[in-house]
Amino acid sequence: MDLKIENFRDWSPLRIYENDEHFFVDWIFIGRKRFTEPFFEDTMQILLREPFNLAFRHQTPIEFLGELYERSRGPQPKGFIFHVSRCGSTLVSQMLASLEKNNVISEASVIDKTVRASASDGEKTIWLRWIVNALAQKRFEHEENLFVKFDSWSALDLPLIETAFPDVPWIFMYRDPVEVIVSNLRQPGAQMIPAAIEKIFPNMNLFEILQFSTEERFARTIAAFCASAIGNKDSMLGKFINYNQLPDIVTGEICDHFGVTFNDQEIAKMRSSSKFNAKTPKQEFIPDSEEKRKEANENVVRFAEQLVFPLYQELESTRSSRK
Amino acid sequence: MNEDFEKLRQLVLQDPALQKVLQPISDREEFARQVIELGRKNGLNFGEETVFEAMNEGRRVWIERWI
Repeated sequence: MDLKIENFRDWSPLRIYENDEHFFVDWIFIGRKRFTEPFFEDTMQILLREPFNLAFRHQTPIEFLGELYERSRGPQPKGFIFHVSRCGSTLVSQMLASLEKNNVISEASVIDKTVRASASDGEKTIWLRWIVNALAQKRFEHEENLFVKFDSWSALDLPLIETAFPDVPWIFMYRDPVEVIVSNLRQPGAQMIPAAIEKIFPNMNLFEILQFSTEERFARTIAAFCASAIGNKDSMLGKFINYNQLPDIVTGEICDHFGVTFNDQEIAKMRSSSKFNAKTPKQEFIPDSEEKRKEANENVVRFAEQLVFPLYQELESTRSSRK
Repeated sequence: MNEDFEKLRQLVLQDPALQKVLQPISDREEFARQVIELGRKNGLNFGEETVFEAMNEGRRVWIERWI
């Protein structure tokens, strides 16, 4: 392949796409920008304001990622974060990202597209290693740890991700289902768009999915994520984390589980970042569980209890038994 | 796509020194002027509208990452 790896220093893969049965990657220049925004895509939006990034992009076959993997290995991820959405996972990623030694990739579409590519599991396993390695390329001297927070629906692909990274510990985060549903009713996440993520309602078409009320559909979506996590509960790599354990659990059990240690000053910095709203870091964090529960209508409570609560209890009992 | 612009694009992508000149420019008109000038120095001719067209195409492609 006639591509020089050194020309990709300070560039990041941003788009993976299929063309004529071959997969390709588009790359964006990221320079000295750290991934400090709540989501990878927020950082990319900032970079896409630059005229250079609109006019110039590298385009490579996906196999080039493999060459990079062989010749320029970045740090192996220290931990993965899976979640049901709206359960404090962004708080965890933002606390980790508050330290310059941590590189945190949060819900990158390029990872999601890899996981959901129309390719065999074998290919996707390899590509996932490649794409994470490309995102892991060390750009700063003091950078030590890589963490990846996946999209909520990636919990459905836990076995594939575990196969790709058999040594990387992961956490699965959840929260009282009523609160998660209410939060999604206020502002639905992409996982709640009917039929957007095929695996949530396998073997159902859009018409069939739309027969569910919004509350039931949201409850079923959250239940699917929880069920997948429970299906992997025997994995020695996994750990379940409840929203109500935040934020102290981050600098305690989560860091222990990921095998990372931080000094007192670093822990203080992480704790200080937890005082702010993770998704709008300029605003202070205000606990809203009670408010969300009050906002829940009869359908929310009914479907949460019927479809998600048994799974929530199983997550809770597994978590307690593993302490 | 304008052939001369495409040649310049390949030239820039292979040369980090050229990239360093263009990357810090945040004003799109100034950016277009510099790209046109760089093209001219390398015997490649195209106008402002070609650069803006390339930027619009880039915007479209990046949006497609969601699809």
